[in-house]
Parts: sequence; structure tokens; C-alpha cells
Amino acid sequence: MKKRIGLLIVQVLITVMMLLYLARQGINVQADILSTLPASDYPEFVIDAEKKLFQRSANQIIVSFAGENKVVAYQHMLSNIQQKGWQATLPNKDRINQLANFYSQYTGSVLSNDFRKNISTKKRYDNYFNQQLSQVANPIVSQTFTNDPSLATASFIHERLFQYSSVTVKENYFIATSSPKQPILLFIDVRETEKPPVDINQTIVISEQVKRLVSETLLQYPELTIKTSGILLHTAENAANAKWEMSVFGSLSLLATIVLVVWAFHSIIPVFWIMLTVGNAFLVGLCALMWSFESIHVITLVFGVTLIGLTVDYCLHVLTSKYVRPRHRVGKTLFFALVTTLICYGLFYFTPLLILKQVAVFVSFGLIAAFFTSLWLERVLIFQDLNQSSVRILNLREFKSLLLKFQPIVLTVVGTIIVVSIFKPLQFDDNIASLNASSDELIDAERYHFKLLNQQSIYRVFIYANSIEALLQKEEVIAAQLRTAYPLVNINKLSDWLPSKTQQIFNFQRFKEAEENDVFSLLTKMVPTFQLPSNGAYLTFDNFSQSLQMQYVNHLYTGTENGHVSVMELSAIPKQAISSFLADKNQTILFDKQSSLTDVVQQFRQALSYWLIAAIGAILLLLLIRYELKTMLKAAMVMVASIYSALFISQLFNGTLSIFNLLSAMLLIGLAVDYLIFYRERQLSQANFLAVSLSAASSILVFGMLAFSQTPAIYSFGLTVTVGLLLIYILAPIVAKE
Amino acid sequence: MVKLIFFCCSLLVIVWSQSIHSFELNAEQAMEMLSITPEQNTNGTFKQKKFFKVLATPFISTGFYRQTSNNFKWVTTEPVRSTLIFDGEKLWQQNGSEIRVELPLANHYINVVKALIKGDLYALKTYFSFKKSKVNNCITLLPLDNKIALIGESIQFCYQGKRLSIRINESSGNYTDLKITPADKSVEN
Repeated sequence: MKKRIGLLIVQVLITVMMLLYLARQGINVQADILSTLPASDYPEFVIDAEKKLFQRSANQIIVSFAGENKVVAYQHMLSNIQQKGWQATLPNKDRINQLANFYSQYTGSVLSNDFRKNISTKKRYDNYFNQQLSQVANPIVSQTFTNDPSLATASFIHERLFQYSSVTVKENYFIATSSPKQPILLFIDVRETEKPPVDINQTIVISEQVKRLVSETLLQYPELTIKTSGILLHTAENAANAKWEMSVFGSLSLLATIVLVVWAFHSIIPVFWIMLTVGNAFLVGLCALMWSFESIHVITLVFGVTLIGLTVDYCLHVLTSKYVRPRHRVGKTLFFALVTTLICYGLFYFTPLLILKQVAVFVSFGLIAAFFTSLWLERVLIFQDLNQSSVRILNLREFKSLLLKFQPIVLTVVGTIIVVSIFKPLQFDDNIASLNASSDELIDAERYHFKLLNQQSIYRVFIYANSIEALLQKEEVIAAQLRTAYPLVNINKLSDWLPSKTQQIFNFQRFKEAEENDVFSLLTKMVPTFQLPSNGAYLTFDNFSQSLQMQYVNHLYTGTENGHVSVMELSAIPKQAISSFLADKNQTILFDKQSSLTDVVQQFRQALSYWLIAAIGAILLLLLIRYELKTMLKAAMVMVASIYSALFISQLFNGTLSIFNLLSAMLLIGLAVDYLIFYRERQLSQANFLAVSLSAASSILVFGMLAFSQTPAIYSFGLTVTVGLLLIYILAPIVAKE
Repeated sequence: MVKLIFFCCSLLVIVWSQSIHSFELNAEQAMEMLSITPEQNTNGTFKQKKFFKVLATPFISTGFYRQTSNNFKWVTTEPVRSTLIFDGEKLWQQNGSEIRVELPLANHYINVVKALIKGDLYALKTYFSFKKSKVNNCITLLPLDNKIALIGESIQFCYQGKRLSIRINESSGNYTDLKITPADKSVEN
């Protein structure tokens, strides 16, 4: 006895020590729901570059102020933000001057498209020159004329500043010109200077601080409309939600299970055994999870709450057996149930969903630990003197007969559902947007800001090349071809700011030719000192990336391990046109995260259907080997009818089904097979019926909780599992021998 | 002794700051000083000279302006024909016989130009502060924000004999002189 207790203590101690060791290595926790999805089939360079570019904007928040007193409110918030050590992007009053000083060093090499056309003939250039100088106020001409009177630099800067821009500067703030209310925009980076990016807990704190600042400002200026958006806020909202649900659902599930056990056994001692089993399973599961994965997703831990429901089952079977039939052992039955559940969860590991891999590891290791703890418990309880009369068997006798009477009604309902579904089949919505767990307020604010910044209909094309020169050339060729095919297309790209060397040489040659063809005669008459350098000065990537101008294209370029990736932003062109245009282009990819993930989910759902059939097939084969054909057929009927009906009822609630409804089917198979095996092995004995009932009740309590989740994925999962469990609980006794 | 010097200096600072403050004018004071009335100057002609340091001779352009209901046109006729059209919401440019194109994000510039050539000091008040000038019949306009400062670091605004003359002091010592003559006056050469 002492030896057995000692063994368990040693195992728990080793697990705790391993956990502490792993925790010291650092736990990386994620909360982005999209990161739980399978990797899309984009090339490695796109995934790598997207990740880096995403990281750059991960800590940014946009705040808009519309209505009366917007300026005062903006200033109030700005000063609060600066006090917190956050960085606000403010208009650069010297921007034109900086651009003028920088680009005038490369006169002739860096030309705008318009300017290249305007130096094609003397007449065109004279007209252009006269028009520019006739303007009453042109700050760009005024700032650049002394250094570059040819107006090449002025033309280039004009094109850069006014191309597709929807934000202007008024006094010391940015105004969105596309809205009649002309809201003020505040761009915040919440990283404190010289500090690493914020982690998931900090995002929650920062999000709360931003909310508090907005509330305070609105209290002072109630007529204002203030909206906030940013990836950080989505992350914070999802993380806070998952954390809250994990602790509340976990605690409530545990509490409800304890109450259930105390009620059933009239004693607090079984609670201790259950907590020991659940606690040990959780520790081992967590240890395996941290050992196997670099980062853990919070949604894994939310789904991991289901481990409580499963591990409680094992303990309950041992306890009811010991209370009702003290000398009877359930170890073999538990082992068979464990094997089938492990097969079911093991299949999760082979899905492309990271979150399911994590759930598979967490639950599988937890279940193995629970199994061994239950075996240990079975041995230990042999020596305990249990009060067998305390268990509520009599109460359940009536309940059992009621349940068996209810069975034909449920069978009729299930049959009707299957018939009805011929006319109204199951419908799945694979759109990834339907899994977004963010609040409507946050999604609305994001859409509003996207509209203000003219970002709502922009398509992003990722281009890869081994060298920066090759990358820039590639961009220029694609842009030129696109403009020829679609003259109205808007293109924003790195090579607008940093033309390739080939383009710069070409520009300089055009400039020299124009000079030789006397195109600049008016200019040289007006400015006798004007002279074009004999050799072109070319702008290099090093010069550009070290200059202040790099900040304007940070979102359009990133270096990767083996090369360079740029992003071309396209608008005023249909998506289909871009796809067909890029079809034969090498290492040039149209990146549409939402569509691509939707496609991946759709493919994955189809594959999952086959997995489900395979899982059911494998389990039925095991049942056939161990029992006989009749049991196997009954089990098949219970599993298929219950799962199908659960999906159909879920569809009645939601309108459509998602991938997470289907994923719950895998768990239902695992739970169903446990009940079926126990009924087949131990029939409708009082102890068995009590154990299955308590097990079903505790599982329904656990999964029923998930049906109250704010996260659509968890809600869908919880709803289908709860309905399915109820049906399985009612129908499973069919396999018991009469 | 130190106290006396400190007292004198403080007195001088107070007097100087008061005199600075006294140069500040509101729209009514500026109108009174220039003897300008808020008349409806809806059309006329202009002559513009750009004095850029690198130019051998000033760059001269001439043209006319016209205001009809919400439409404001600024037409340069010499040395090249170019038209700016502001429809109250958007600003358009038309060079010669080309199709007009929208000039995005430049509306506030045309509003400033419109107010300047109409001598609308009430409208100019939203963009500039007014100060007395050493030159007779003139006031100095100082931009209130950085965006307007890009038009000019300061503007000398003069009104005499129903003619407006405006000097826009731009960056690096460059400046633009603009002479506005309402429709009933002939263009001064």
C-alpha cells in the first residue's frame, strides 16, 4: 500500500519538476484564432514575409475622432499616450524638405512617370515648366527649385506624396479626407522605446488602458465618436475571452462535478480521488504539451477542459464498482476504453490543425495518466472500508426504467431527422470570417478605418527575388504590364520610392538625351547656372534603407533568410484579373489570407469527413474482433445516428455548420465508444448504469459550458458535443445484452 | 545694483512683449487699417512674378479669375494656358485642351488663394494671424499651422486704390509677387 502511494507521489513530483523546468525555459502562449488553422499552400517566402510584416503592425493601434471638439479630444489623448511611453506617429512638418534634400541628390536618375513623358519633346517640357512656375503656391516646387530647377525632383516628390493618399495633414494631426466628417486619425505604436514586442498578457493590459482612455475622453466630450482598431486589440480581446472562459468554465465544470459526486456517493472522499485523478492527468497533459510544442495556444487549453470530463469517467467507473461490487475489477474495460479513445484522439494529431495536434497530445497523455491513476486507485480501494449503502442506486433504478422507456421516442426523433435531412441536408459555411471571435464593435471600427485609409479593396501581391535589384526590376516589369492591360489600376510599390538601377540608368539616359535634344533650352535660359551632372548618381538600397524615406515603405518590403520579398498593393482591378495575370509569373503570388484559409478549411473539412469514416471503421473493427457482428451493428447505428442528429440540431440553432461542429464528431465517437464498451462489458448493472450516468452528466456539464462560449469555434464544438452526448447516453444501452 | 538691472530688464521685457502684442490684429482691425471693405470681388485679373534665387529674371505669368455661385476658376493665360477649377468640394486642373484632372488633397490651398485674391480677411483669419507691417497699407500674415506654412513662411498683404498686392515669402529666400486687379480696373503693367 505504502509502496503504491510512494510510486504515485514520485510520478507527480517528477511531472511537477519537469513542468517547472519547462516553465523556466519560457512558455510562448498564442491567442490568434487564425494561427490555429492549417498552413495554407503559399510558398515559404510568402509565409515568412507575411509573418514578419504582420509582426511590424502587431503593436499598432489606430484611433479616430469624429465630431465636435475632435481636436481637443485628440490632443488630450495624445498627451496621455505619450505619458505612457507609447509612440504616436505625428505629421512630419519637414517631410517635403527632407524628401527634397534626399532625392535632389539623384537628379536625372530618379524620375516620375509624368516627368519622363514631359521631357520627350521641347514643347511638352516648356508647357510643363511654365505650368509649374505659374502656380501661385506650390510648396514642392518652391522647396526643390533651388537644388533642382529642372523640376524632376519636384515631379517625383509630387507623385510620391499625392499618389493614392487619403490622409492629409492639418496643423499637427492627420485628417482622413475620404469622409465628410473629416475625422482625425491617431496612429499609436504601444511598444515602449527600445523594448521588445508586447506579449499576450501585456496586450490585455494595454487594451484595457486604451479603453479607459477612450471612456475618459468620451466622458469629457460625449458628442464625439471615437473608434479604435488594430491587431493588438483583436489579440487582447480573444486572449481575455479565452482566459476568462478557461478559468470560469474550468472552475464551474469542476465544481459541478464535485457536487454531482458528493450527491451520488454521499461522501466527500470520492471527490478527493477524482481531484487526484484529474489533477495528475492535467499535470501530465500540460507537461507533454510544453515538451512537444514551442508555443501553446490558449484555445488548446479551453478545449483541454474536456479532459476533466474524460478523466472523471475513469475514476467514476472505479469508484462505483468499488462501492457496489467491491471485489469486481474494471481495469480491463478501462483499458479497452482507453485504447479506443486514444485511437480517436490520436487521429486528431494527424490533422493539419495545430490546435488539434496540441489537443491530441494534451488529452492523450492526460488520459494515460488518468488510466494509471485509476488502476492505482482500484488497487488502493481494495483495502478501504466503503459505505456501500450510501450510493444512490435506488434513485437511479427508476431513472433507468424511465430512460429505457424514452429510448423509442428518441429513436423515432433520430429517424425523423435522418428522413428530413434528405430534403434539408447538412450545410457547412467554411468562410474563415465566420470563425472571427472579435466583437462586432471592433470589427466595425476596423472596417471604418480601412475605408478611411482606402484599404478595403486592396489586393497584395508578394514578389520574391534573390537580390534587391532583381526584385525591383521584377516589380517594374509587372507594374508596366499591368498598367498596359488595365490602365486604371492603382499600384503602390517599393520601386516607386527606390527605382531599380536599370530603371535609374534608363532615366538618366532619357534625361541626357533630352538635354542633347535641346529640350531644356527654356530652363537654361531662365536658369543659366543649371547643369546636369555628366555621370548619373544612382540611389542604392543601402542609401535608401538608411534614410528617413524607408519608413514610408516599411509595410512593402522585408528581407528573408535567402532573399528579398516585396509587397505590391493593387486596387481598381478585379481579383480574377490579377490571378490570371500572375498565373505564369514565377515567385509572384497574389496573397489573400481570408480566401486562402477558407479554401484550406474547405479542403480540410472534406478530408475530415474521410477521417471520421476511417475512425468509425477502425473502432467498429475492434468491436467486431472483441464482440460479435450484432454488437458492432448496434454500435454503428448509435454512433452514426447520434452524431448525424447532433449536427442536424446544431444546424437548426446556427443556420449553418462550421468545421468545429464536425470536429466535435471526433470527440463524440471517443465518448460514445466508452459508453458502448462499458454497456457491452458490464451490461445494465446498477453500478455500470450509475457510472455511465455520472460520467455522462459530468461530460454534459463540461461540454455544455463550452456551448456558452463567446468564441464561435468553441461554441459550435460545445453545442454539437452536448446534443450528441445526450443522444448517445440515451441510445447506448441498446448494445447491452438482454 | 543687481536688483536695479534685474528690475530694468524685467520692465523692458514687459514693454517689449506688450508692443509685440499690440502688433497682433484681428480681422476688423486689419480691415480698418487697410481701409478694405468686404466687397464681392468675384472676378478680375492677376499678374504674378516669381523671384526665385536661381532664376536670371523673374518668372512672369498673367491671367484672370472668376467666381460663379460655387465655382471658382483661376485661369493662367500667359505664358501657358492652365486652369484651376474649384467646385466647392474638389479641385481640378486643366492644362491647355487636355481633359481636366482632379488634384487630390490640395483643397485648402485653393481656399487660401481664393481668400487672398478676394481680400477676404474673415476667411484668411482661419489660416493666418495678422500683424502690423512696416510698409504702409500693408499687413503681415503669419500661418497658423505647418501645412499653411508650406505656402509661405509669411505673406505681405497690401491694399491700395482697390488693388491688392500680395508677396508670398517662400523658403530659401524665394518669393512670389501677385498683383490683383478687380474687373473694373485695367491690369497694371
